[in-house]
Parts: sequence; structure tokens; C-alpha cells
Amino acid sequence: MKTVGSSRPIHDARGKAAGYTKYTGDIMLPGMAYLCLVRSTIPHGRVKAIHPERALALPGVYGVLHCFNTTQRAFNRYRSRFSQELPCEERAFTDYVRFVGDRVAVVAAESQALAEKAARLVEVEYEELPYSIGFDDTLSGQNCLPGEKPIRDEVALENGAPPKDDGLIEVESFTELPRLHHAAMEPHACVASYDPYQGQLTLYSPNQAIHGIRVVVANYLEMPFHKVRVVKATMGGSFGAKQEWFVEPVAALAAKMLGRPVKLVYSRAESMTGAIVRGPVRARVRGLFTPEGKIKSLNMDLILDAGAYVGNSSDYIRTLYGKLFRCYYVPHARYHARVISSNTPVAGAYRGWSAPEEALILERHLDAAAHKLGLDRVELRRRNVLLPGGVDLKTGVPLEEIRIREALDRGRELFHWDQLKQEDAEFNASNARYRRGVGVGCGGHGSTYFPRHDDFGEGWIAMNEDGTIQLKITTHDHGCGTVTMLKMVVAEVLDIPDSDIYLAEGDTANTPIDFGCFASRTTFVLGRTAVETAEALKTVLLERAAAMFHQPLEQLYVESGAVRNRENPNLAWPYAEVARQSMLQLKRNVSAQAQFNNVTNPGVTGAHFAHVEVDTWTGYTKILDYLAVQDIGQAINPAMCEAQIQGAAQMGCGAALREEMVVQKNGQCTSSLSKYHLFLAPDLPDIRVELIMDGRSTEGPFGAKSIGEVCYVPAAPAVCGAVNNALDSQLGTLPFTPDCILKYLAKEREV
Amino acid sequence: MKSLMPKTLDGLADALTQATAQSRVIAGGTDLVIQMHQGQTEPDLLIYPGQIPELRAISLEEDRLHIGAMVTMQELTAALQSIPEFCAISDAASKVGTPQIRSKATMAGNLCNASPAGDMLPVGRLYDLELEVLSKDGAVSLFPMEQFILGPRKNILQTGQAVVGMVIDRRRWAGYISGFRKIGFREHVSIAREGMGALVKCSPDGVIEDARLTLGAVATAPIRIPEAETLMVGRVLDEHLMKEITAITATTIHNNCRPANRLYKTEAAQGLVADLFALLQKRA
Repeated sequence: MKTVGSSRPIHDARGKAAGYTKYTGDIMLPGMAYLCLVRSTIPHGRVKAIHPERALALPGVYGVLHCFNTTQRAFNRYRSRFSQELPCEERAFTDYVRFVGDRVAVVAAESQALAEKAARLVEVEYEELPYSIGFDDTLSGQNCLPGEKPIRDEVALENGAPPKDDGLIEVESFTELPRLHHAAMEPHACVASYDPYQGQLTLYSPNQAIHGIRVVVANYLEMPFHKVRVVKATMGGSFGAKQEWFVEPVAALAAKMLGRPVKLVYSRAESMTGAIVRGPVRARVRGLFTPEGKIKSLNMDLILDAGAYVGNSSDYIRTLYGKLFRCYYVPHARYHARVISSNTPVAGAYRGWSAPEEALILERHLDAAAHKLGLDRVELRRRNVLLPGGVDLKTGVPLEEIRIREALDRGRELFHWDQLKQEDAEFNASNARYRRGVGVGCGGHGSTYFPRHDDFGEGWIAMNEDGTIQLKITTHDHGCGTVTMLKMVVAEVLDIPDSDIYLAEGDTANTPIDFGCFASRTTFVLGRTAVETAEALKTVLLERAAAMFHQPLEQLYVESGAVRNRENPNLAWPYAEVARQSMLQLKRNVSAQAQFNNVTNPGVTGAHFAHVEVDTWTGYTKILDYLAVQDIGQAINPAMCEAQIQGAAQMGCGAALREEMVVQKNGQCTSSLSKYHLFLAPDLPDIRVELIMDGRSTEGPFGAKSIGEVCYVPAAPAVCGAVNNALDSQLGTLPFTPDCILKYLAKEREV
Repeated sequence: MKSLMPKTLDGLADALTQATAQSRVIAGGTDLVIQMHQGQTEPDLLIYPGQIPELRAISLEEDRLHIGAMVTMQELTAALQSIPEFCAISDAASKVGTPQIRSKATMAGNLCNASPAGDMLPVGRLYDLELEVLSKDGAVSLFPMEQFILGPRKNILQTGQAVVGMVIDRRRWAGYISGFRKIGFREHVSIAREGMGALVKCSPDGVIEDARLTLGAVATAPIRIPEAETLMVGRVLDEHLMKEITAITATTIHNNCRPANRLYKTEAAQGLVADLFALLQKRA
């Protein structure tokens, strides 16, 4: 392969680094109004009245839209395709507020500063209702209205039969995960423009599913689909935060009502509390193991706090269960999960979509099991991981060439796991202040929606008169390089430089229907679609060349940007000539389209290793070394995959040690990065990455599997395990902040 | 909103005559601009004194250290990091925010903002620093730190006044070594959860003749630890002393901080004191 497997920068890296690239927040349209939302200041209650007069009195304020002068129609933020059965439960502005930050009104003005000023002048009268902010007060029904119950959804699932073996050892563990912020550098944003004469709405936003937004907005505003155009704008990160829709419906409604373009850009505080968060999870696991450490049964009881609205939480708890079967052989599993709804920011999608939560719970449990059974933690995992040829026991889908055991073995060796354990023991015995430990985490994910939803992709391709390529596949690049990846795949098939290909991102008016960037499906499904599309174009090129240049079709092939004859090396027709002659001679453009519908979802996994040093006098945890081993199949652009894995490790360190959105007694949630402590580059050593590429997929492009989400799954578990190893503790409530660690040590001292 | 950029001290005094209760003097803007974005303050007039040469200078004179109000954290670090008695200032200045913030933020701004977590507050208190306040009539008066800061985010400045410089008595601290350490939520880019400054004078054989310790981000304003200061005299900077100072510091923190953070801040005194001692031992 000439292109696939070589490393190159992503398409807009230079522009972003130079400050040239334009984001949604940079878009300016003539006559545009700036929007600023008025949000609930109370956690639960009814809006009695809204007084916009003082805001409207300011010159330059175009209007105030609120719950009493806008449509009663509702939408579902989580909808991403027409076929989902979901209730429409959300209005643009509500008169029944369920958390501090719920949308009550929006002010439109001629400048951002004026819109913000005017929004502060809108007075809202509330009637307050009892509210709850945590697991216990919500479970007690404290915020329930008459007739409501604290449990909003409940599911009980089971796979396999309970073990009948004698001598099994029971292990119990408890894990509690906090509310997290995605912390994309770019906040949520949308620019909406409505042409009343053509009845045409256009939306620009950084988002993960243009066609999902089209379904939601068209239904919400009662418009036909072809009158709603959604354009994927350059994105400054998502991590799942931009796959649910609340900025787009609000901006669309405002543009239509005001009859002028509008721009809605969230502040950091709004992106933290007024968008979506990773919801808090509490879980107890009871496992049965053989004395040799084989899992015989897992019994998991879990509660997810959906926050103010149920949103995607019903699907989230069901998906979480399925992740149990993507990394380990679990012959029997019993699962009981409940969704509760507190008066806190709304839970939603987060990188890994429940797999990281599942891994934190299960890996904690496996560490507890290893402790109880006196087994090495890598060894215990080795004995339970799924092997090549295995099957996902929940869905029955083959896992194909899964490489998790190889990842563990290679990691153990490269990380010097056994040696570090010994060195740490010596270090800890001779050091009063610092304690060192190692941790390992494993995790699995998928590469497509299949088999939960059927999955497919479509591509359109055409050759320009100079032999360069126009490619149309609906892409939603988060900044992780999928545009470059698709170009590289097409370049490989046509044997041209990837710089000869133009690929814009998704635009419902110009690119084919697509389910969006979910389920880590882009490389696997759309990458293969790109292969099929390029192959279709190649066929057209060869057929046209055969016809025009009077050559036997079976003798023709492509190489280095030209159609050539196998029998006669002197004969070659550069692509530009084929494209031009096709137009001149055959009066036809060189173009093609293809669709691809996958029917597999191979096992894709990773094993991460962390070495930490805990300062028992300050509670700080320092990451001394970190190794990520990923079972990736073919890496299309290896440097980009490595960078993505390094970012995942950084995110996992944050989740394990620092990140936590705290809701205070008055319902106010952490709303500033000065109080939400991300892991920064200076906090980290070089994250070492090892890619295992021999576990290739059958359907992915050139054997590729997914990487974007799966590499985040094992990260936090590895770091948590290392801290527990250092302190010889069994901490299960995240994050392991300095406070948490010193509190634990103080308690230990008393004992 | 109007803005004025005077180029001389007289020009600044003139500008201050236009100030109302809503007007603000802006230095690096690393606190003020955030407050403006959040709508906490809406100044009618901004006065930027960054073009006045005197305000940009640090001068190490025979009897005093004079720091202009517009000297940045970065400049402060570079100027003072090799002067033993003033290392505590450069230690603190070098750990404020990010390099970008340190190239804008000023010590004077940090003191005026008077956040209890401000790193320059315990440092100012350590040296009995005095602030030079210019009034609109052109008069300059001196205020000691304790008088200048009235409480969290409150200072003594009145409408038509601005801080133009800070003064430290150089003779008073000749022959001292100094240091500052803080504990935040992370090692870099972190707001202090507790900070500690020290000034110590040792005899040639290492016996402590005089000591001063201050704590920041514990109470609403920086506090000294007189009991520990007294204890240090006649002792050497060794592990035994460190343990005793840790105990006193922990008690002081425990008695002065808010209940919500008490356990952590008290426990972490051990690390804070140990790190500060390590710094002083290195410099002794």
C-alpha cells in the first residue's frame, strides 16, 4: 500500500494552528442577530410570568422569545434518525423548569454584548417546587410531582445460565462515577438563516449528524425535509457533546420567527451546564469466580442519574449492558438498571457511549477479584478475555480477529509490568511520602451500529478534467482526521496522491444521507464506502478507456494516476486524458456512486497500563508512565490514531483523578474550567502507543477497525487501578482527587 | 465605554479626575476582563496605565525594592529569581496561571483584586509590602498591605485613586533567604488552595536568627503564624523543626479555613511545609 498506513497531518491542522480556519462562531451573515439565552435560576419550578420590557427597551434589541410567545410543539434532542421511537418532550423554551440552566427565553440583538446585557434584564417570576440533586434524595422521590415515581425507567436483562459449579468465590465491588463535562475547546454553536420567500431554512453547526438534525428541526417546525438544509461546520471537538440537538432547534425557531439570520454561541458555562453531561452512575457488582480467576457469573445493579430529562438515558443503560460482552468471556450475566431524574444538568452522549462507564465498573471489580484471589491483575484478565473466533454472547455477532489477549501480553512486556511491580514494592517500603503503583485496564467497543440498527453508507464521486477528484461522502470530522482518512482510502484505490481529492464535510443539500458520526462507525462503514465508491469510479475509468482507446478491458489496470495496459507497458492514459476524452468523445462525465451495507461488527479492544506516584502528603497523583496498546486492525493514518489515543489517555487521567461536576445544595452546578480540573499536557509523560494491526476486520477498509471511542474505554480504569495499587486501597468513588486520597489516608490512620 | 491611556503620571492623575464609581483601572486584565464578560462589572471608563514608563519598571535600590504597578508576573520572575531575599516573590509570580497569563498579569492587579486565593497576597504580607496610591489631585500616599486589603475582593481604593507601585524595605530583609510554595488542584495552571511564604535569616552555621511565615488562600486575607516564627529562632532547618512547624501550620489552617475544605487543607499542610522547607534548605 502506498498511502494507507503512512502518516500525515489532518486536512485542516495547519489552518487551525494558524488561526485561519473559520468556525461557526466566526460566521457573519448580513443583518444577523446574536442570541443569548435566559436560563432558569432555580432547580425546579414553574414560570409564572416573564417581563422582557427592560430588555426590549434597549436600542438594538430585536426581540425576546420565551415560553409564552412561542410554539408549544416539542422535539427530542436525542433523535438521530427517522425510525427511532422517542417522545417529543422538549420545548425551545419551557414554563416548567427542571434544572438551573433550563431554557426559558432568548434575546436577539445586534451584538453579542448587547444580547447578553439584555438577557440579564429579562425578569422571570417562578413558583418553586421541591428538588433533588443526588442519588439518595432523588430515589426518595423528593422532586416527584403528584403521580410521578422516582424510577423513570428500569430494565432487567440476563444472558446465559447461572453457574452450578462448586467452590466458586464471590467478589463484591462498588463504583460511583461523577458527572463529567466533555470539554471540547469549541463551545456549542449554530447559525441559522431563513428565507421566507423560498421557505428555505439553512443551519450551520458543528455537529455529528446533519440528517439527524434535519429530522428533528423539520418535524419541529413542520417543514418538508428539502426545505431544511443542515451544514456540518468545522468542529473544534465534540466527544459526544455535539450529537444531541438543542442549539439547532432553538436557532432555527428564532431565525424563522425573527425573519433574519441568527447566531447562537454557548458560553463555556452554558456548554458545561446547559448542554449535556456524562451522567452520574452508581453500581454494585457481585461476581462469581473460579479459584483460578475465571469469571462464571456477573450480577450488576446500576443506577444512572439522567439529570433533568431522561434524554438518551433509557438507551444508555441498555447499551451499557451490551459492553460486558465486547472484551471478556462472561458466561452468565444478570443486569438490573434504573434511571432516575434529578434536577441537574441533562445526561447524554459521552465518548464511548457507556463503554467507559462499564469498563470502570468491571475493571474495578476485576481488580477486587484479583486482590481476593491473590492473582496478578494482568494474569486474571488474560484468563478471561475473548479470543479470536469468539462471539459477542449478547448479539451473537462474531468478534473475528479480536486481539485483546495479545494486547495484554505485549503491554505486559513493553511496560515491564512484572519488573515495575517489584520495583514499586521496594520503593514503597523505603519511602515515607510517595507511593507508587501500576494499573491495567481493558475495554472493548464496536465499529458500527450493526446489529442494533442496520448500517450503511453512500458515496458519490466524479473526476475533474485535470484528473483530480470530487468526492461526496457525508463526513462529520470532529478534528480527529476522518476527512483525511477518507481521502487516503480513495487515493489508495485510485493510486493518486490524497492531495488530488476534494472532500467537503456533510451538507444535507449536497451530500448523501448518513446516520452520522456515532458508534465509531466512520472509518469502518464510511471508509469502506469510500473504497466501494473509488472502485466504482475505477471501473468507469477502465470501461471508458477501453471504449475510447480500443483496448481489451481485461488488459487494462490503473497505476500512478493513469490507465495502463498490462500487455504493453508503453501504453498509458493519464486520468486527465481519460476524463477529457470521455467528455469530448463520449459526451459523458467520469463519475460513479456506490452504497455499502455492512453485516459485521468485529471485536475492537485495547489494554492500557499506567504507572503512578501518589504523594501521600498532598494527595497529588503523578503519572510516571503510560502505555496504550490498541487492537486496531489496519491503521489508515497511524500518527493520527496515535494522537487520538494519546488524547484519550489524557481524558482518562482526568476522569480518574480530577474531573467532576459538582451540584451544590442550591442546584448550581460547576460551570467554569477554573473549577473543573482537566489534565493538561504538562501534567503528562509521553503517552506510549502500540498498535496491533494483525487483527484485521473483514469488512472495514483495508482491514481497519474503529479507534475513536475504544481507546478511551481502558484509560481511566488503568489509572484508577494504579492508584489503588499504590495505596493498597479499594477506592471505588471517582475521581481520586487529592481530597479523596487524603481523606482516605486520614481514615486509614485512625484505623 | 470610554478608555484612556495616559502616558505620564500627571496624565494618569488627570484621567482619574474623570473616573466615577463605575470606572476601573485595568492592568493585565486577567481578572477584570473575565468579570466584564460575566457582566459582574460594566465600567463606564477604563484607564490603562501601561504606557507610563515609571509603572513598568522594577528598581532595586539600596534601601528599597520598588515594583511598578504594571510590571508583569513574567518580568517579576526574571528580575527577582536570583535575589535570595526576594525569591518568594518570583516563586509565587512564576506559578500564576499560564505563560500567557504571566505575560499580562501584574502583582498590583493581583493585590487590588484581593481574591483570598491570590498568590501575591501572602507574599506581600510576608515583606510588609506597602502600596503607593495615586489620587486624582496628584498626591501619592503609602498604605501597608493589611490596611489596603479590606476583605475578599475589597480594597481601600476610592473613586479617583489608582495603585502606581509597591515598595518593600530592602534593608529590613538583607541577608534573609525566602521561598513560596502553593498547592492547587494541579501542578501547573492552578489556583492556590493554600500557599505558604517564608523569610528566614540564618547565621553562618545555619542557626535561625529570625523567621517569618505567611499563609495564603486559607483565611479571607493572608495570615502570619507567629507561634511557628518564634519556634524557629535558635533552631536549624532540619526534619525535626519541619515536623513541629507542620503541626503548628496544620492547626493554624484548621482554625482559619472554611469547614468545607478543612480536612484537605489541614492534611496537606504536611506536603506544603515539606516542600517549602526543601526550597529553603536548598537556598540556605
